[in-house]
Amino acid sequence: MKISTDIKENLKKYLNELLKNEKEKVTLVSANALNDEEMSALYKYIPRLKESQIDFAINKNVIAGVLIKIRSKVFDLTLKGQLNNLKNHMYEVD
Amino acid sequence: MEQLGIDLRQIAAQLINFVLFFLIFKKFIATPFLHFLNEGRKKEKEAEDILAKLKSDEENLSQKQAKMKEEMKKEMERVLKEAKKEAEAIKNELITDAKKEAEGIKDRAKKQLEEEREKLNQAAKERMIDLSVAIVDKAFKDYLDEDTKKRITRYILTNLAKGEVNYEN
Repeated sequence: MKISTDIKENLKKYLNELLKNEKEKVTLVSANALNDEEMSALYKYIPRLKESQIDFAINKNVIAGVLIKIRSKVFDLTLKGQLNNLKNHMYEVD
Repeated sequence: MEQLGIDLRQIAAQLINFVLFFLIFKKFIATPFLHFLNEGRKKEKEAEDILAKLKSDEENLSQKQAKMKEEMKKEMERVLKEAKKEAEAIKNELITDAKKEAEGIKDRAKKQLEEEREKLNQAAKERMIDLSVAIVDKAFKDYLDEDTKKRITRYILTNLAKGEVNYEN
């Protein structure tokens, strides 16, 4: 069944509008709850967080710092992440 | 003549007798007998010739046989010599090939050993790194109290804007 081009275009436009209006979902993982000062620092660093729907999650494994997941992008600001980075760098050293 | 006891008629008769006897003897006995003797001699001679020929043939054959034996012996010696030479060459070739193969096997084994050693070293290194990082991780979790962790979090977040802490995956 062939769909007309006009209908396709209109559907695309409509879906884009819906997406625009929908708030971006963000997951924020930290070892402890963040206070306002910390949150404002985060907003300064990633301004689009202000318009997003943030899901907070507490995970002691990160030790310290925060992990921000925005769709497929991950901002790893945790101590655990740094340890992993160090591990990977050490693997590469001869 | 009669007083001497010679009878001419008897003598004539004896003479005739003798002549007759001679003629008959010559015709019917001497000639065939001589012929027979000649034939016998001829046959003997022929037999002797044949014998001589056979002896000569036998000698020739023996000589030929001896010569052939000699030639066969020489040929056998030559063939044996050649076979020995060939066997020696094949032996040397086999030894060279075996040596080459052994060298190849040795080299491959060395290479393999080296690779295995490299792998083991790498695995040991990775294991050590994993262990070290795990120890540090455990140390952080056990020895950093909540306040210190919060301070670290605050430090990270406040220095983000300054650009001192700047990382992104």
